[in-house]
Amino acid sequence: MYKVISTIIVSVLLGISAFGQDLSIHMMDSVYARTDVNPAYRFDKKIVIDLPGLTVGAYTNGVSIGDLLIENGGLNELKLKEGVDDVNDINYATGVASVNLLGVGVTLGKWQLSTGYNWHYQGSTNYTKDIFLLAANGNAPYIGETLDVGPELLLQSYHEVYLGASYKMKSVTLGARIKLLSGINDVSTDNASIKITTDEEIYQLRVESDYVLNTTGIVDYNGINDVDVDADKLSDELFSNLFGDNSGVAFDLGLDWKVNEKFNISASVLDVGSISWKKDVVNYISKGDNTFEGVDILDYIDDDQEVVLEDSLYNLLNFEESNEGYSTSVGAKIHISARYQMSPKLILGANYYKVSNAINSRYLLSVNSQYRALPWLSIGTGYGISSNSPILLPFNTMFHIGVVDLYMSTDNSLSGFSIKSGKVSSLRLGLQLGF
Amino acid sequence: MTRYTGLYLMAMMIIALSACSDVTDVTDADFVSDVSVAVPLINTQLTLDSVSDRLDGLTSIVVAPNGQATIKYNSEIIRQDADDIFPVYPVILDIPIVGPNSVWSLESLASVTTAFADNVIRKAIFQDNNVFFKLQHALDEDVTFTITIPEFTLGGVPFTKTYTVPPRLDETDIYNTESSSLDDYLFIPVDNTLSFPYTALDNAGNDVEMTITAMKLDFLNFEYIEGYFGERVFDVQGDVIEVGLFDKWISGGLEFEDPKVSVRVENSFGFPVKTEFQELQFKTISGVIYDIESDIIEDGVAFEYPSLDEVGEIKETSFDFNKNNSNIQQIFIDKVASVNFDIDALANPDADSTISGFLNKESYFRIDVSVDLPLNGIVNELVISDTLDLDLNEVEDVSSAEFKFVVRNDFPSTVKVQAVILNAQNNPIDVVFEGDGILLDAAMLGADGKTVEGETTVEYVDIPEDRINIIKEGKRLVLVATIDSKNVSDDYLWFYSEYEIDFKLGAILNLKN
Repeated sequence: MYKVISTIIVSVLLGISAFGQDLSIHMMDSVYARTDVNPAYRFDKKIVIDLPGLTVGAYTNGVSIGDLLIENGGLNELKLKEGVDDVNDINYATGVASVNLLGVGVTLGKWQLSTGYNWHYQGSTNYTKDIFLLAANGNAPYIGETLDVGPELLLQSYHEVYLGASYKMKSVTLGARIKLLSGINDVSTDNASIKITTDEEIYQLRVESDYVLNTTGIVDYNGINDVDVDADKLSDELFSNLFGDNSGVAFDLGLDWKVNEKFNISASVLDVGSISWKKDVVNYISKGDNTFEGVDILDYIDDDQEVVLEDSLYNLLNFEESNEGYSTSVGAKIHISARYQMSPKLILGANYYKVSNAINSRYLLSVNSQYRALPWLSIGTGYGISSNSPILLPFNTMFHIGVVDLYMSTDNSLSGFSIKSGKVSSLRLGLQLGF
Repeated sequence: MTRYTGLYLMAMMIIALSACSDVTDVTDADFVSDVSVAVPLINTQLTLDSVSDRLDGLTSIVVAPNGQATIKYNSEIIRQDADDIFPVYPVILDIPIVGPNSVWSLESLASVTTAFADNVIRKAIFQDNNVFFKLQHALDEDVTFTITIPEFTLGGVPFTKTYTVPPRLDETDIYNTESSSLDDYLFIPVDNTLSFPYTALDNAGNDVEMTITAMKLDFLNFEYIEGYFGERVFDVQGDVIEVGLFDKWISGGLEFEDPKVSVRVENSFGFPVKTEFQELQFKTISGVIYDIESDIIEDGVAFEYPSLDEVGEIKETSFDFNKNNSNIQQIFIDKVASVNFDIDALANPDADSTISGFLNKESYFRIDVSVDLPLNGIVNELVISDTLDLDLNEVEDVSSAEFKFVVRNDFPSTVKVQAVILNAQNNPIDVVFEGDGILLDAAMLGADGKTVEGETTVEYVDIPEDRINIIKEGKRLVLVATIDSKNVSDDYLWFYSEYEIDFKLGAILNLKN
């Protein structure tokens, strides 16, 4: 059982460390993708075609995979015990990825209209200190105690087709987007309470559970030691279920206020909406209070049946199955920023970004600068903090070559794209044509 | 600005390369686990009740209303039904009818089966019987043949049949009439005989002399028979009762205050039957065979039986061999391993033919024999042992362990337990407990002769890494228990059903991989 839990924890930490998101996109004036964080932002061309781009990000406030990695006699070892000092009471680990397949923006006087298609993936977990300690140390150090070991999980992928509009008034621009969502796959928890108590007498085990795991057929649970998660299905089915049974809608609303010629304040609320999951739904529900007090050897008198302790332990957590549809939010976000045009080549800015998904949220706060170094090159950097990291150094760069804009940004150039040490890792790559 | 562009591109390459390096570090790393797992292993409340609930087969524990317990080793049930004693026989001979007023003695049935020897049938009811007649005459025309059997009546009307008998082709041509059912016919013989008055008439109404006349019954089968069935022995056979109490005995004594061999008989045959013990022997664990000495063996015991107005009732007879009527207590001191018995049943032992008994299809007798050991005894340094197979492949990852025993003993006996681990060559390689083993103190006796709840013993057994490596070689576990009641009392002590050994075992296993 401990191997199972340990493997899950390491897999989660590895998985989320491969992704990244956005601290400086609001500073990149000509980038169409700015409208992703505020539909009131305007692009500076009459027609913009946003070509395939990629956004990945990963965040954790707990242990990163690098915390677990040690060198022993020239060999690398992963040891959960190494992360015990870094784990918080409640930890989250989140990974997101978006593929911006195509976007088109058109300027029609004071109006700008946009439409496009995005593919989204998000994976997230909230795990307690207790479950990490249980996996790292076993339950023996916690005899007489109750450990809360129910992880909250979210693995979700969906299609998004949007239609947006912004309208520029004298000093204020208002924008809105409606997003038609179509769910591909989902694994998410509803209730997520599993408490395990080890009694002092002879270490009798008690498991109190109130846990609901909703899935769309990508988890096959046959016991705690026999869980088959087809995680690849989340990403493999990139174009499946397009406008299928799992439908939803979400809205973005934004405002950009030009206070004076040099100073702008903007705010937006993004992704307010949900997806209803109906296709291939399997709900795994565990609600009960089970104990294992040891084997009664009298049950085996004159019986050839083999005493298998493991089975009794696994039976402490029983799940019943049902097939009830459910809904999940896609995770609302709030974005507030200010920009000041210091010179024709230099913009200074500040940014507050609160990001949520169905099970957790985090904030980012930053000050930014954007410098047009050459007619074809623009570079931006700054300093930021987030709820899980005291130091973030965002960095972005844009190449302007004719009608082509190529851009790249990261929230934390300190970790770069390291999967070992970063608590915040992100990368956005994009390409657009402007006419 | 060009130089800064170069610097910028170089920085981007370093970032990208560091990411690749990270991936290699992590994917090449071995996952190392070092955890301590606390698990409950055994949690058993051993009471006589709980053992009794799980016993099957021929052994049981009987608890008296006051809680005193008796181990009962039962024999296979011995049962004989009416069909076993008076089987249904096919009748292969013809019953001759000689002349129009023929009489036939039922004593001739003894030639059919010895079961009918010496029988005097006074009343019977047929079941599933058919009768037909074999007839022949010498005329060239049909003959009307009418026969009556006055002893067979249905609703008070005698059995009467009329047949048209055709002329014979030759002397070997015998006419067989159609069969007639005798079901429910009451059979009341007169002087143990059957009579067959008949008439045979030609077309003109003249008497005709029959050249062949006989009656044929297919089976002798009765629903009910009343009469005298003779002095006869029913071979009931016997059985061997295995007494498993001393299977694990090594040394020491166990003395019972009042061991018994109990016999219980159910009988619904309506005639006198008495036991005749052909054999009642006790074999000890050392192979010595004792014959029991008791007047019961010599005199036998008469079964109760239902009278003629108690047809269908079952009468019970119980008796036992005990310390007062036999030498059984002395025999049991030698630790009996099995009891071998062979009983016969003697019907009508007084050979009084005036007694009228009965049997019907539901009649049976059933004999239950058991060895009863009331758990009122003295245990004197009794050492028992058992060997279990071990398979320690499952503990491959265990680097060390600590076992915790929590045990409470309510029995009025000390129990000392040791466990010896043997390797594949059956050589001892370790003992689980230090010294002589874990000692469970006896519970003390209260004023009512029952014990008060025993003290709980907690014992830790540490198995460090070097011992674990030795124990992993273990293939068998020899459990040795030494039980003694004499440090509580020198008298016989009852074991009550509520006495309990509460045995709990948990372990902290340190796992490494």
